[in-house]
Amino acid sequence: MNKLLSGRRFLVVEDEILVLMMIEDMLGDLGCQSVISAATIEKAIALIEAQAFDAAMLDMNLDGDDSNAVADALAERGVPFIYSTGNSGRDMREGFSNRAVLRKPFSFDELSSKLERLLSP
Amino acid sequence: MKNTLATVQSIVWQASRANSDPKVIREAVESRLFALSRSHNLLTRENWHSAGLLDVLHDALEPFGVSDGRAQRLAISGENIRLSTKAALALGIAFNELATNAMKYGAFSNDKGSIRIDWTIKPTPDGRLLVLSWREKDGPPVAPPLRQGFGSRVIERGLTHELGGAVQLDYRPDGLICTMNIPVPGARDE
Repeated sequence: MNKLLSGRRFLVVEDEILVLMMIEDMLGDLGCQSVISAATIEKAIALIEAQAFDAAMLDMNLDGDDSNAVADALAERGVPFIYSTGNSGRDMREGFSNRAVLRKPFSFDELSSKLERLLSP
Repeated sequence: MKNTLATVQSIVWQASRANSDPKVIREAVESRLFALSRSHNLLTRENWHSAGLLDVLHDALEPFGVSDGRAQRLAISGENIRLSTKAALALGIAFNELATNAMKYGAFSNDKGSIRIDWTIKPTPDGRLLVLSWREKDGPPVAPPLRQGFGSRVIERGLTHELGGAVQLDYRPDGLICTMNIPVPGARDE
């Protein structure tokens, strides 16, 4: 059976392990067998430089720092991504306001519909 | 706050995926919520700045009878070093999972087993490393779990992913040994 994320390599940039474990389970339910994760900006950028990803999900805030540098690295390589955030009403960064944002906590259905839109040709 | 809500969502999600009995699900969710709540209480007392390792350990083990019968079967030794809030939260969860496992299958599941927890700080080229060991003995014979459950997953991955540490769970027949190597801030942060 072909699911949304079958055969895709997915990068999750999220610093909280419990939230990450749930996201991994959700992505697994969408058919993704290859979820790579990073908790820090440095590790995320190193991964993006070294490997090819089909899509990514990026927490706007990593341990107090914004993750703009990671967003730039993904955008440069044309990796489609969505943001996640634990903030309620943060303004989007200029030039990135067309990116989809998942506000935590989010449901499986919200995640899957945002990813479906992200990956639809 | 919203991140905390997502953490709670994850706790419910994991518990309900791993079990079908509503009572088991409720107990698993409550145990982790209470652990999270104790960590939050401790960090609130410390103004969300940092927390002492001994305090994190005492608060995490308090519901497992450390203040009554099992106190004599628990030996803790180490300096009350300061941990970041992030490390305090991650270790609070890890100790809760280790203690839950000890009550169900390990050294606290019979009447003579004991647990020894000790740690040292080692200087490294990049800073300092907390080397902590949790050793159980005289419990029932130990066998490695058949599948990786929430507890071992969160202990091994949590400390690695969130803190850049390394964790080893060694299911020795005569008692579980968990060894943690966690980078901690240097003296300037104390």
